[in-house]
Amino acid sequence: MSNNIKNRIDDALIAFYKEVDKDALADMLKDDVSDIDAYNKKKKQLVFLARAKAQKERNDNLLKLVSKFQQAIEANIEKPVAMLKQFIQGNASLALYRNLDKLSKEDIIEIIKDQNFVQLIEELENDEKRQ
Amino acid sequence: MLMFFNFLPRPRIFFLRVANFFPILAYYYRQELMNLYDELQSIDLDDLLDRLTSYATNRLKSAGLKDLGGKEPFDFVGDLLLKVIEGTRDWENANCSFTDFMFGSLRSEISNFLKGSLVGQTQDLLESHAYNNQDDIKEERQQVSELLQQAGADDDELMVFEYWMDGICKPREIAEDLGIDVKEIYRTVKRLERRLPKIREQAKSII
Repeated sequence: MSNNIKNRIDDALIAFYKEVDKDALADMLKDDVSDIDAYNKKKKQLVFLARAKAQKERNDNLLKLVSKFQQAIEANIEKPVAMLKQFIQGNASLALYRNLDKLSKEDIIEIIKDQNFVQLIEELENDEKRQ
Repeated sequence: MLMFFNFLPRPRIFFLRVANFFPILAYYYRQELMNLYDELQSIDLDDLLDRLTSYATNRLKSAGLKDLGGKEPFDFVGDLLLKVIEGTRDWENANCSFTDFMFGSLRSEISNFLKGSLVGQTQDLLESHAYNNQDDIKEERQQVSELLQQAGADDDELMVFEYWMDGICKPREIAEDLGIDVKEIYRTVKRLERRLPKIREQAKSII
């Protein structure tokens, strides 16, 4: 079977598994999985682990960012300071944080907590390399 | 529209869950967020894992591979999810839904696994000679359809196969086009999925 035909079949099967209703899915799993209780237990563990790991990654990234911003404010590095000012200006609820010199760790967390941390770290590290 | 979400009170997870019921809202909110942590908190991860596992089970079964190197199909799903969290597979910059990303990545992981196996290497040899000429695809499509018929496929299965070959693969779209209940299509797809491995050996010899 050529790749073209195989790919179309696989696309269709993926569409099926994404869309099929929960009752039909539950019936299929009973046929597919030899020990459904063991499967459900493993799945519960994975969900817990996945969410816990994601939270840890997020917290690690947040602390890394706070540290970078604190250092940038002390050294008056243009780009990070400009980024913080932009976040503050873009959100009315952050107006009280206008004075960057007086920002605590918790204040910086409040300013950046809704941003994409991975993207921010990348931008700041690229800027550091250019310095 | 996107700025609106900055003024929403916390917690954001609550609004993501509500947005899941309104597809347009969910699309815009996700475009704004694209944050793995929030996504994992808001989606029905249990349901997604069930779907991915079912797909992996049937995909691996249809490849005819008996030895999965000590792994279960669910392990492929679990390993993938951990790769996504660790950043080895980067969803946040992928510009698609988390569900689409997971299915696409799982397909790729299984494909790589099969290529590394004897079954996959044999298939690779045969596929390296596969042609992509439009007329040949038409002819091959016809031959696969005939093989399905010989293997006992009913009219409904053959019709669904034709929809797939025409690029219409969502069960709901097929059901709407035919004016029937989508559950009929689900049942037909399951029958067709079980039928396909029976013709893979013969389909190889078409090339």
